[in-house]
Amino acid sequence: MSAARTSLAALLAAVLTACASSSKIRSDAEVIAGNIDVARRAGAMRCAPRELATAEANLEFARAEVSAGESVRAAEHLRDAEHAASKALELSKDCSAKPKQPLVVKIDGSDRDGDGIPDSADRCPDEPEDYDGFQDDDGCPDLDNDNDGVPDAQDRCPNTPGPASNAGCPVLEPSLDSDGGGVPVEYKRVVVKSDRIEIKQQIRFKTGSARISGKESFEVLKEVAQALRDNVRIRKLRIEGHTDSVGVDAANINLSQMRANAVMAELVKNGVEPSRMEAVGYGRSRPVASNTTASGRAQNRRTEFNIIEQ
Amino acid sequence: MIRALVAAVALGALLGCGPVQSTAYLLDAEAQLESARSAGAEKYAPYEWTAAQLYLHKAREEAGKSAYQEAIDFADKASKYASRARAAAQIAAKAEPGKDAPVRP
Repeated sequence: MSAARTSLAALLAAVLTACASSSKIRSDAEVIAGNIDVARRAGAMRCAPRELATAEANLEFARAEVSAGESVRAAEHLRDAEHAASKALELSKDCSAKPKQPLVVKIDGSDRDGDGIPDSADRCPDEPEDYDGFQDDDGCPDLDNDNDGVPDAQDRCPNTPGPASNAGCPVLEPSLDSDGGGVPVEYKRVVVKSDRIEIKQQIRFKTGSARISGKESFEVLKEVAQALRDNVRIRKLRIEGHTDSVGVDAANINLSQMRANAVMAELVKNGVEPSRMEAVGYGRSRPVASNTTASGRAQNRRTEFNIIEQ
Repeated sequence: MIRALVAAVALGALLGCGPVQSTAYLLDAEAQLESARSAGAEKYAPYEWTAAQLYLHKAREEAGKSAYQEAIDFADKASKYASRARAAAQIAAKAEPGKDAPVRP
């Protein structure tokens, strides 16, 4: 009886210790997540990318391990995350938004504004050069490189004029006569809608593979890329891969993901920034037609371009 | 007898599915990482490259513990990061003045 009581007490103590440990790990994880957030906002992505990635990944691993009841392993990951987050914070301390000012050796003469350009060669001797990569040799700060009235700090296209309503970027309408030939340039293969870029012809792939096939498919993607470049309001596009119901679920998800990746890679090749896109494979989960007929299945095998942020 | 055989086969398929799937995901992630490395991701996309490596390492660890679903999830993330790293590296290499993109093997 006494032995049973002792065992029960030991078991209870173990359970309570484990709970306390998990709870401590969870609260520590919150603190570290906060530090990571601060580091990221301070520019760690640029000044401490490896440390930032290490901190974020280990934090995720710690949370996964604690959910799986592996407190010891979770604590190890948390330590790694904490260490990396501290390092990222340290490295990001002096990480300003602008590139570091280049080292300029002063040979002689005075330099009233202290921008490293002697007054004799400085067109603006009382105003320091801003070293923003635009006309940095004249000694004058360029606060609005393209003179469009939108300060560079708020201008998403600091070197190309554009209205403030379009974040300082030029507005290029599909119907814009860009070649000056009097014939409006229009997309032949895509239509830009408020929530998506609709393609008039589906992207084709080799059977069972993620290799894009057919010249027409590449032409469609070229136009999707052009539409994205023209419409800077589209900040994030989700490239969705969908399949019909034939085959195993996991294989369909995998194939649709690989196809979405292939489409994204093609758009990157055509000059679209990867940060403006994400590729998601949905497999058979989102049909638009019945899978019982051949034409329905053909409709379900598709690539969609949905605007998720603008 | 037949029922027992069917049950055994079904059980075998269920037990065997995890390792096979996770191995496939791990192989895919490894291939993506190799492709990113060839594109110069270590230099041009250090954030994505580091994340891809860490997730792949963790996926292997999970597979080693027979936690196949976790292994799949982490390997999938590794693949995604590696893919992003490769794309970013290709763009950065092109944009770097006087430098050509690394030649792929």
